Amino acid sequence: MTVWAVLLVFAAAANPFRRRRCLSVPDGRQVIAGAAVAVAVYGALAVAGASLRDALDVSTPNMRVAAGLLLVVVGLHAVVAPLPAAPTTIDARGGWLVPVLVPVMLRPDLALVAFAADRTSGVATVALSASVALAAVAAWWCVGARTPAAERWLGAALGALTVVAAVRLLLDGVFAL
Amino acid sequence: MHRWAHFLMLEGVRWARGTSRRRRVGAALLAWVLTFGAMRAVVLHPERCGTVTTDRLDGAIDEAVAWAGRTLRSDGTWIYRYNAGTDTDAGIYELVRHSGLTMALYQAAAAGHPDARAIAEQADTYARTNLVARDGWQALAPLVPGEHYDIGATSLFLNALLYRRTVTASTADDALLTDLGRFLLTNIAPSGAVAANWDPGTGAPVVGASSPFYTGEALWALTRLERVLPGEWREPALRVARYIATARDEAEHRFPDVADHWAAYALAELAHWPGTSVLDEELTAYARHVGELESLSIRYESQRTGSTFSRLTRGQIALGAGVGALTEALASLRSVPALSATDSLRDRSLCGAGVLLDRQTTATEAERYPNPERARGAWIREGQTQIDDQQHALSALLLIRDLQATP
Repeated sequence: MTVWAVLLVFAAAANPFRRRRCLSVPDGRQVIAGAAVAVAVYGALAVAGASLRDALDVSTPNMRVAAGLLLVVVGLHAVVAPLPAAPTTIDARGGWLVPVLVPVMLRPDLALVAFAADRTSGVATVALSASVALAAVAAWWCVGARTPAAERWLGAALGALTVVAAVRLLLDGVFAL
Repeated sequence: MHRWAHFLMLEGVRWARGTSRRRRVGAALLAWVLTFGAMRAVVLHPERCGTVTTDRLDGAIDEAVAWAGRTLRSDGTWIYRYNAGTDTDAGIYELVRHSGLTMALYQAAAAGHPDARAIAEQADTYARTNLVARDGWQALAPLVPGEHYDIGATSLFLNALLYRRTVTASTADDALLTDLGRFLLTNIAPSGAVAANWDPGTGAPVVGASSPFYTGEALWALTRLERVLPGEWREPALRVARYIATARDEAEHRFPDVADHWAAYALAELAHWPGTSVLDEELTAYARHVGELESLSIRYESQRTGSTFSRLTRGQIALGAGVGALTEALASLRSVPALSATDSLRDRSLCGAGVLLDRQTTATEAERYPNPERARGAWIREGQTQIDDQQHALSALLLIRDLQATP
């Protein structure tokens, strides 16, 4: 997987336009803290990816196929589903954990991409891609427009992009040596 | 509905006021467990590649050779398609696979398995009774007079005799090798396409008759002939190689593309031609393409276990011939310089060998059948085995054994 392919997957699937409503905390520092922890976890998952794949008897290409399939579903959901309901704002010190880190920033679809990282260059690629993607989520939370219709269509567009990136990941896995 | 979709997509759920953090984390964890559980159950099946050791390889090779010895009839033919469950032979025979198993046995003999030679010699004697000479060439004639000649039979017989030449260190058959090679040349079109059949009635190749595998078989024979008796084979071999690499699948309407293990053998042979490498960008790209197709196949095949759940989600296990052929391809492609350093190719070829080792019928398993001697050492699926199951599996294990010995 090239750096650009991983970056595209992360940026599209992180989908700031759909995730903003789920970040129901009042304090931007909690969003940033949750995103930072998520980047660290994705990096750790990429480090552990090779060992985990070996333990599960799953090859890297097949892990990419799995990630691609899951991301196709995630992308299609973003295309067709309405925006999620805005949860009740949580004004607590642990907001960085719930609802920022879990369930918004740390996601199983992106975790699968991290697990599928190359043994050598993959960790840096995943860390960089996760940083960019989650920074975009945090930035949109801070400054983004609050027009539901615009967010709906922008979220759907990123959903479509997720499908494209997922299919590319899928083919990369299917036709790997 | 949307509520569940949002939940599974981890987009948040409108929680009742006062829902504890622990419960929200628990819900997220549940979504993770459901996601990974579903992926493991449906997509991420374990790839069971067995354990490949030199001892296991040598044992499996000896068992396959012994099977060929036990099932060889006095006239030099084998039991062709054998139903181990009923201890019956389907009663059919043809020379393509006869030549193929003969070749595999000469490969085994060349690799230091002495029992294989005597069996191969008997099969060779039988094959020679079917040789026909005409117009400056010789070929294996069909068993039913008047039928079309299969190019594959002569191609594999030529390959068998090339291995025999190594085993016997004799040049006595060189004239025959040349004649067999010339028969192949008569079936190659200017485009590089190889006719699958030759018509004794018209004295010409059958127009439009093509085979997914005969072309590669002919190519492999010519590439090896060029190394042993260099001269007239170089140009036609390269023409066929280029046709396979750039035009064959489209010209012959083959979809999906042929995962051509014979072409993989030929590419490995081309890599060993003396002088400047003939493996240019096109041929190397094709080698990679074949590697990708075979890699996909073994990654899928190694997930099959034969259990009911595996059959439902992955289908029936492949024939021994199928797993053997893809392992032959993967192992052969490691000789292509651009691919030789690829760890994944090594892993996949070892995986193929591991699958073969695990699926060979052991002495204990053979006791379940009415005639254990005919079942032991074979690759049996649904109670049946065919000589090419043993041929491809044996060739594959020999290649892997060679790779193990020369890391």
